[in-house]
Amino acid sequence: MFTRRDALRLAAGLGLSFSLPALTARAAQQRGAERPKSLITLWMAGGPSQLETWDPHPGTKNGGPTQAIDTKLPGLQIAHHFPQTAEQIQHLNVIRSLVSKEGDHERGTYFVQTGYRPDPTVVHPALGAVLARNLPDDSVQIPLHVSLGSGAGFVVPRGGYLGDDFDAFRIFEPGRNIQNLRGLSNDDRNTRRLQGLDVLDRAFRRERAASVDNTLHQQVVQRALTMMDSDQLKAFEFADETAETIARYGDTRFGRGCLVARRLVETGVRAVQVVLSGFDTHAQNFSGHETQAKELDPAFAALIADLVDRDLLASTIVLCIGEFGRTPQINPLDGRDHWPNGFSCVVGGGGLVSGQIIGATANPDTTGDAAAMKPSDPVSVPDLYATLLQTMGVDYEAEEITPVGRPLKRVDGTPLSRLLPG
Amino acid sequence: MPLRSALLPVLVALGVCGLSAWAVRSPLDLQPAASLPAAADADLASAVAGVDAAFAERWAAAGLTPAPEAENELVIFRRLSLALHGTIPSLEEIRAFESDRDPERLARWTATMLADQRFADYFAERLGRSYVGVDEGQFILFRRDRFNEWLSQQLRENQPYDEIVRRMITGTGVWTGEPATNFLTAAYANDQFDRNELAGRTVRAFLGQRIDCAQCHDHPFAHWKQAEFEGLTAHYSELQVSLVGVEDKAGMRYETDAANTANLVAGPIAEKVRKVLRQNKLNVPDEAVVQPLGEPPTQWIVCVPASDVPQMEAAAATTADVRAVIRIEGDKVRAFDPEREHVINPGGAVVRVAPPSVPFGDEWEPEHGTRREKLAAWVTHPENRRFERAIANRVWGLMFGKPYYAAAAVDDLPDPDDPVTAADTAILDLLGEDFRAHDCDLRRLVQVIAASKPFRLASNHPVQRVLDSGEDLSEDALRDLKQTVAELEREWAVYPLVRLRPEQVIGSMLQAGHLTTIDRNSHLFVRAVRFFRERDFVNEFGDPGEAELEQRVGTIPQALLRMNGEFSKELTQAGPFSAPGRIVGISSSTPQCLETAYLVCLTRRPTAAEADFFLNELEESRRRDKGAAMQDLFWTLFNATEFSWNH
Repeated sequence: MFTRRDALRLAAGLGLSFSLPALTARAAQQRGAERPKSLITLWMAGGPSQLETWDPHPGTKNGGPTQAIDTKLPGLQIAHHFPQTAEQIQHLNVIRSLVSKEGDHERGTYFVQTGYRPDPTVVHPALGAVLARNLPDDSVQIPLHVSLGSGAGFVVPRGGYLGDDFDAFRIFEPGRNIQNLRGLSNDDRNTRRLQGLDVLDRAFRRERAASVDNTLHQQVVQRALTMMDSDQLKAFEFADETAETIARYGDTRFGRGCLVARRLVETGVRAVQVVLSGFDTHAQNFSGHETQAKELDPAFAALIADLVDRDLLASTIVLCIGEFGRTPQINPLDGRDHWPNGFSCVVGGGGLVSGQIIGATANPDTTGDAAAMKPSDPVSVPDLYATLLQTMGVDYEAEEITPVGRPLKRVDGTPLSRLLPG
Repeated sequence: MPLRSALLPVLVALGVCGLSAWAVRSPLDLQPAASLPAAADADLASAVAGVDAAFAERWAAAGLTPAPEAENELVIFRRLSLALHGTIPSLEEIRAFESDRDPERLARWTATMLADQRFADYFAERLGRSYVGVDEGQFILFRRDRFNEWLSQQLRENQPYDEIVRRMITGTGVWTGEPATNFLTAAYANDQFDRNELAGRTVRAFLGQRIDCAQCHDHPFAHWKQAEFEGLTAHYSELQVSLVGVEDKAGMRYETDAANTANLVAGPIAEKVRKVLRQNKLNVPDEAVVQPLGEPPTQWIVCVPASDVPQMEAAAATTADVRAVIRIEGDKVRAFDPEREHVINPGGAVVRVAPPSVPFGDEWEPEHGTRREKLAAWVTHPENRRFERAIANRVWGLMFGKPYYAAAAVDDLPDPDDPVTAADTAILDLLGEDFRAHDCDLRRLVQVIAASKPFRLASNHPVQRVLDSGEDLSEDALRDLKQTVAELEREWAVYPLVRLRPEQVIGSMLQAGHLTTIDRNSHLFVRAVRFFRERDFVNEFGDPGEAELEQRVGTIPQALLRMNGEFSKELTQAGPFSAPGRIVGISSSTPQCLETAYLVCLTRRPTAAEADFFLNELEESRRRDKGAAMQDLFWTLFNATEFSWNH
């Protein structure tokens, strides 16, 4: 009986040049600030309420029943649903004055993921795709851009004009099922299948070898086989994690996603998104956010604690953000509606400073329209992303030429000096 | 999702009853359809001859020897099925086609496929992407399913294309009852119509012109200035959405005799003008003033000057708060709510009133009708060549997988009068003229393209034969060869290898998993599976959205999905209802088994070398597991380059 590796070697002998890159000392094994940087985005799908997360306004009528608790960061209070995160948040920063103009889930998601408003003539790449493209790593055999968890199709970050190659690789059930990555376990049959492919390929190449080479079909299949054979696939699973660790993250889809995210970053994956759905609380906002927090709080706190423990936070940016916030007013269904005019995110690590609290929203009892409720010190998403790209060593201002010949800046913003060291 | 889970058990129950009856049908002895439409008429033949002659001339001028016509008509049959139905042909269809001895059978089958409901449904989905995009939109105001159904019905009835377009631009009513209006409501975002989006889409989808980016870079059509764009946008300025659906808010427009223009003088508002505004429910504060725009003034704005602009300065009142627009149109004076005018550009810095206008062909706009009616007439006007060139380029793209003018996006054609590209786009004019001469008949356009030489050419070319020996060419020779191949492809002198779109991949895999044709006559269960499977698969495979005619290579997740996905596993499994299982059941010999599998997946028979290899595999498996061998065969066929690339 031979192994899969033998099968690949045999396939190579048949003229299919399957090759595995040498696994030498990899940059990903480094630690501290010298390590190549990664980004973990905790994506709060549906639009989390700033009032029930990082920007509570207790004691006001529209603040609702949500209480504020102290955190390890002096001067910062967050919603009482997040006692564990309160112990870790001093490693990060809180922005309470994000602004957007997109109040629809799909459009808002597009804007917050790409830093550009939807444009029917071009699809902009998500931040993770920009990173995967500009910070490549040949020693990583698994995708550099990964999305963990489930959500609407538009929640998965796309490569846009950079190419489908940079779409996030999607895992629906983190830690439980690395779908499509496992072939047949019968290596004899695998070899026969590859031999068959070779026979078909030879027939198809007749008088069109150059055209067939242009399709890159064979290379893509080979790269997929390489990935299927890679030890790095273990990053998607956690057979070697203790039950205690899994429990700390919370044995939920999102918790498992955060644990896998940490493992992927350790393996050298550049950008990971972990999705937590269910924030669209047009009704029952308060109980809804309590439920959400039960998943978010342990996972978020465990992730930061682990990154600190493993000396990975200096090289890993963590960003917790959704497509918009929710209205300061409470609607008759005890819910909150979409509110892009002033919402919160948590961001830090990867060389950013920590402990900053940026911007403030108005007292939610303030009457008036969006203008009256405008947050102080507003921060735009493109400015935030310019900050992240600069920190990660990507020229945020460089222009990419889109397939239609239109040059576009990677991000049309200016870095926030308050988040940058020195 | 809840509907889906509720439906599935019912469908399964229905399916199990029906499947047993369906499974006993043997697809191997089907007869050709009894009543194929009459053979192509002479008029069609002459149009095709014109196109072929133009290509022959181009190829001769470029010194290119085109590829020979595809050896086996089944190859073209496969292309047709992929282009018009989004799937490869079923075994049932292949048998029927092969038993048709008519020398004009390809033309007849093109007509048959066009008459099939699958064509209408499939093309509606494809064309619909350019009209309403692929975003989910605002469910309350936008119903893609209704829109696609409506478009499909137009195609089924073979409605003239210009009429279809006019109905989209001018539609009124509720998006559920008047589905054409979804073209408009698709552009409803953040609680208002995005009129710029509508104007941009109108020009892109119907005229093959991208004007939205003219400001950002040196676009070849930079002469489409911002003002011209605003003039187009103003055609949608009266568009409103209310309880009765989409309408033109003519009620907001108050008319008075031109004699009253005497009351329009710069400065505080005369009482008569104030009355006009009140009748339009336009509330204007006391301090508001009237300012003339233009010289001589035909328009005024009613604005509240910002405190730091005490002196009015006509059009330069940049920070003024515009409350209304008053315009002289013919012998009438009309007042408008500025919300319905494109007056303030997104930066908010410049106040500008843009009356409806078109960048060229002013005379094509009729004198009467609503603004949208005028726009629709202009867009579809017989002298507006951009209209037919755009649809010819797009339909060509759907037939070949890439647009005829492949140097740019499908909706970014050069100016018809641009001398530099005139020769390159002459074929589009040729196709377009025939299209116009035949009442904008989309089916006819498809038939002309399908019968033209480029569609019939092989995708292999003798010039590449030098690579077949396996010997390495010198670097220079290889580079020259690649250049030649690229030139042949650019000039359509060889059928290009184009990656199948996701819906074609899944459609083909599903069809290959069944021996009979999956269509509206298929069992409800099969159709339901197809619907949900297709949606999930396309979702996971990655939907290119509106950019589906852009050329791209496959990705690793797609290869993984095809190789290891649940869906591939199910389809390749040799079960009692799946093709791999049924083929074993109905085949009398192993060679027949292999041949059927090849026909089902690749629409061809195996070559001698392939037969050698796979017969050996299947025979050897007699001693092992025949089911597994068939599964491996199907897996191999599904993952071959040939399966995923149109050829």
